[in-house]
Order: sequence, then structure tokens, then C-alpha cells
Amino acid sequence: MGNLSIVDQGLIFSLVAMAVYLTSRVIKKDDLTVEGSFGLGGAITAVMVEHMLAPWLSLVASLAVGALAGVCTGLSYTRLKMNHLMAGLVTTTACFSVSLVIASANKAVAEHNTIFGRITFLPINITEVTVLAVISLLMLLLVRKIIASEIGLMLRATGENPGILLHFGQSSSRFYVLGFTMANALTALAGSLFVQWSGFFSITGNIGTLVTGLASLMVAELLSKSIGLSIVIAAILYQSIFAATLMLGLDPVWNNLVKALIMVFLVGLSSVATKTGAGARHA
Amino acid sequence: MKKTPIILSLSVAFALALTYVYLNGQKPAAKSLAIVTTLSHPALDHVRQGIKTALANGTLKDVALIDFNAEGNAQQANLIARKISKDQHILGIFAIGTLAAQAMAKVEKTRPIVIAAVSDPKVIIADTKADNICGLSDSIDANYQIDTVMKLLPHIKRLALLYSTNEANSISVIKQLSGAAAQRNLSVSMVGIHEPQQIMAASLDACQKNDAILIPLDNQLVASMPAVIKATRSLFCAVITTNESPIHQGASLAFGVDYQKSGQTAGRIMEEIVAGHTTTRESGFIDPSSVDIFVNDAVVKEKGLDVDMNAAPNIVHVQGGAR
Repeated sequence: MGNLSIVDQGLIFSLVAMAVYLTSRVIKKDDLTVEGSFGLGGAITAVMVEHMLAPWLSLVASLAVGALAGVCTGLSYTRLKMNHLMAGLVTTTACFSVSLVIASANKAVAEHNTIFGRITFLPINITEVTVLAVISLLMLLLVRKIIASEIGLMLRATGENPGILLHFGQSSSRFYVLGFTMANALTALAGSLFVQWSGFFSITGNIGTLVTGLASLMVAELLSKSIGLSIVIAAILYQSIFAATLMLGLDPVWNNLVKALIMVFLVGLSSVATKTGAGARHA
Repeated sequence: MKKTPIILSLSVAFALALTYVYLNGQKPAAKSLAIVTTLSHPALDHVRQGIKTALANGTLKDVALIDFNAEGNAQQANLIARKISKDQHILGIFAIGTLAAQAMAKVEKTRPIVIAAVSDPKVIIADTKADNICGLSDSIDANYQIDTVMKLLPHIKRLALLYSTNEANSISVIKQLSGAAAQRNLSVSMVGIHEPQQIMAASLDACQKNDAILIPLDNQLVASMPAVIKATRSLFCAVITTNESPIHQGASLAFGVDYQKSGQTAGRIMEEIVAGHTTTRESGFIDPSSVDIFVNDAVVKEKGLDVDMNAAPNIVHVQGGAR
């Protein structure tokens, strides 16, 4: 079996991309809480796994703490009238301390029972990719279902024109809070999966989460305008960019430049494809 | 819209190409060793250089070295570790720094992993049954540090401990240092820094309120030493680091673990393991064999510090970094 770590990490970070979609594209408030809630989900998971609690329970706990972080950001924005970026920053900063208190800065959980240890008749790498794919697709279906529901309509209206909610007798504040809550619950779930999959929690392990989520979402938008499988494919694609730069045999100091160039190349591909599509329609 | 299928197929083709490169792009030599560094940083770079020097002059000089850098990113560290674990040409792995060591320890259970520049190896092997990990710690005993500071600065009354709240190594060392200072009735204030932007203000404040500030092995602060030195330059307060490199930038005193030497030792341990002369279990974890004490004479004079130059036999005098 080939190396599935690219797919695994892509599936995990597809949840972050969905979270960024909810805040940046649905309620249209960029959220910087992402890095904090990712770490928080990881921290609570590391401690629960270490104390032999049911690993599936840690997923629920991470959803809960992530949601709580989202509520904090949402209330800071709606009730305290804080700028949404500032609200996210404040919550992320607080999450950092909370994570440190919960799990300290490093914790090894590799030898403990995780959600990937349950399916004993499958090789571990197949178990990992299967479990992650099921969770990612379930979350995608859930997000799609919510977006298509009446609540989703209100969420989208909140992003497009919050004033219009008054005509429905609704307050936009509730839906801003709901949007932040859902997004951060998803992100914390990703943090939980990341810790269980990688076998360790590091307080700096959340570095780059927001960038990965945002970049994956942007790649997904090159593929399709609506949220769907494209977001999962894009997250895997972004991880493959990550991985391929490592393997080009260049001095490691060039890695980030190569990553940037590959991203430029992808955007260029999109531009060419758009022109080709337009040309085909005119012909 | 005709755009989606075209972009989708181009992207999938691109992803497949990238994956192909990932899996096959860097054909290793028949025998190779991998070096995984947590991030670029003076101390970690010295370790890497030391490893390369030892290998170039030893029995493994014909073995190819594959260099990886996680750039402080856990996602990247995981991808590197899993790539290495699939590559059967690699005889052994050097993991420099905690993040690299953690990522490698999770996926590689048989081939030798020699770690270096990890202050607390228990963080890596805690709860694991792995016996394929050995290496070098870079932590200096807290009692030794406080004793030495009190000997070098006989009139010291108040000591600030400056550290990053996000570095596990720093936090555990700070707790030990604080305990050691309390036992010696030395007043201690702990100054935690969350973000690099806080470093100058925190250093200035700590220096104004204390006779000296001690900075433990802390990647963020070591990388930001010029800011600490700049903020505290005009104050009558010793800046002490537990890393050699800042002494050349203008720190007053320093404890020096020789990271080049650590790297060379790690290289020799790997040689012994690969040759079958020893095992990782037998090698175990080694504390720094010797600690040099560095005094920057120019800075001490400029600040007017009262340093007892006869306090320890292993004082190395350096110049430089003063205004």
C-alpha cells in the first residue's frame, strides 16, 4: 500500500476548510479563532486519550470545546461589538492558555488507544484513511444539509444582508454566533483527529492551520463554486503540494518558495481553463 | 458552466503528478541516513552540522544524507516522518528538536532514531514501548545553573526567568529553576512571553525590576536574542542565557552546551549502531558531557556588572556584542 499520509492529512484539514467556508463565505466574517480551536480540540483529546477514556468520546468533547470557543468569538462580536477579527484573536489567545493548562506544551499519545485502533481486521493505514474519510464525508453531508435548510438560509442571509433577517423576525446576532460555533466545532474536531492520527500533541502544532484551511478552500473554489466533494479533493491537493515540495530534493530552505510557485501554477491553470471554457462556449 | 470539469480533471491530474513525485521523486541512494530538523535555528543548525562532520570523517562517509526540515510545522513533520518510514533504503534517522523527534517516534518503530537537542526525552518516549530511540539531551541541571549564577554574581538578590509559554522545554526548565532558586532564597519572578512582539517590552520590564534575567533553552527567545539585548543594553542587569550563541551577540553571561559536539556525538552513536557495536537501548539518553561558562568581558564592563571571574574554573572569555 502506498503512502496515504497525504490523503489522511487532507481529510483532516478538509474539516478546517469547511470551517473557513462557513465563516468566510457563508456568514462572511473571517475568523481567526481557527488556530486556537484546533489546538484546543487537540489538547482535550490528548488528555482524554492519555487517561484511557473512550477515544470516540474525545471527538464529542473536542466538538463541544470548539463550539464553546466559537460562542466566545460570536458573543464578543455581537454583544461586545468587538471587531470580528479582534474577537477571533482574543479567543485564540485565550485558547492558547487553556490548551497549555489542559495538556501542557507536549504530550505523546502514540501508544494509547485511539479511534484508529478499533478496526482490528484492517491494516492501520487503511483503518486511518477509512475512518477519516467517513468522518470527513459525514461532516460534509451535515454542513451541506444545514446550508440547504432554513437555518442555512438564515446563515446565508446573515452573510449577504443581515438587515433582511428583521423581516423574518430574526436577529442576525444569533446566526453570527451559530456560524462561529459550527465552524470552530469542526475545527476542534480536526484538531482532535490530528492528535490521534499523528500520535502527539504539541502546543505549536496548530501553526499554519488557518493558512491550510484557507488555501484548501481557495483551491476548492477553483474546482467548484458550491461546497461539495471539491473541498475534500482540494484539501488533499493542497497536502500533496506540501508533500511534493519535500521530495524535489532541494535545500529545505526553498520549500516555501516552491509551495508558493505551485500555488501560482494552480491559479494559472484555473485561469487558462476558464478562458478555454469561455472560448468553447463562444465557438 | 464548462469550467468545472476542465479544472477538476486538470487538478486531479496535477495531484496525481505531485503524488508521483512525492513517492518517486527523490530516489535515494542504496544506503542513506535521514536528518529531520524541527526548524532552522542556530543551535539546531549546529547539531546538524556536527552530525554531517562526524559522518564525513567516519565509517559512514559513503552513506548518502537526506536532509529534511519541518519548518516548525506539525503537518510537515508528519509528512516527512511517514515518507521516511516508507523508505527502506534509509538505515537510520537523526531527529533534531522535539517536534521532529515526536513525529518520527510515532511512525518508526524498528530503525534507529538518534535524537539531539531535545531537553526532555521523556516527552518523546513517554508511554511508548519504543526501544529504537536514543540520543542526547541538551538540558543543564537547574541546581547547577542557579548555583553558578549566584557564584558569578555574588550580590544578586532578584532573578527574572524569561521564557516562552508555548515551549514545553522552557516551561519544565523554568519550574525546575524556580524550585532551585527558592531553595537558595533567591527571589525569582517568572516572565512568560506569548508572542515575539512582547519580547522587547517584557525584557525591559524584567531587567528594570531584577538584578539579572536568565533565559533557558527556548527556541523563540534564542532566535530573538538581539531584541532582548537591545532592550536591556543600557540597564544595570545581567542577561544570562543557557545557550552559547547569544554571548557573541551581546549577552552578559552564558552556559554553553556545544551543539556541534552534540551533533558529532549523535553521528558517532549512529555509526556504532549501524555497525552493530551497540544498540539504541544500550546507548540510552545522554546529558551534556560538559558545560562551558562564557563571560562577555566587553558587555560586563559596559554594564558595570560585578562578576566574580574566579567563580568557576571553566570560564571562557569572549568579546563582542558591546556597543
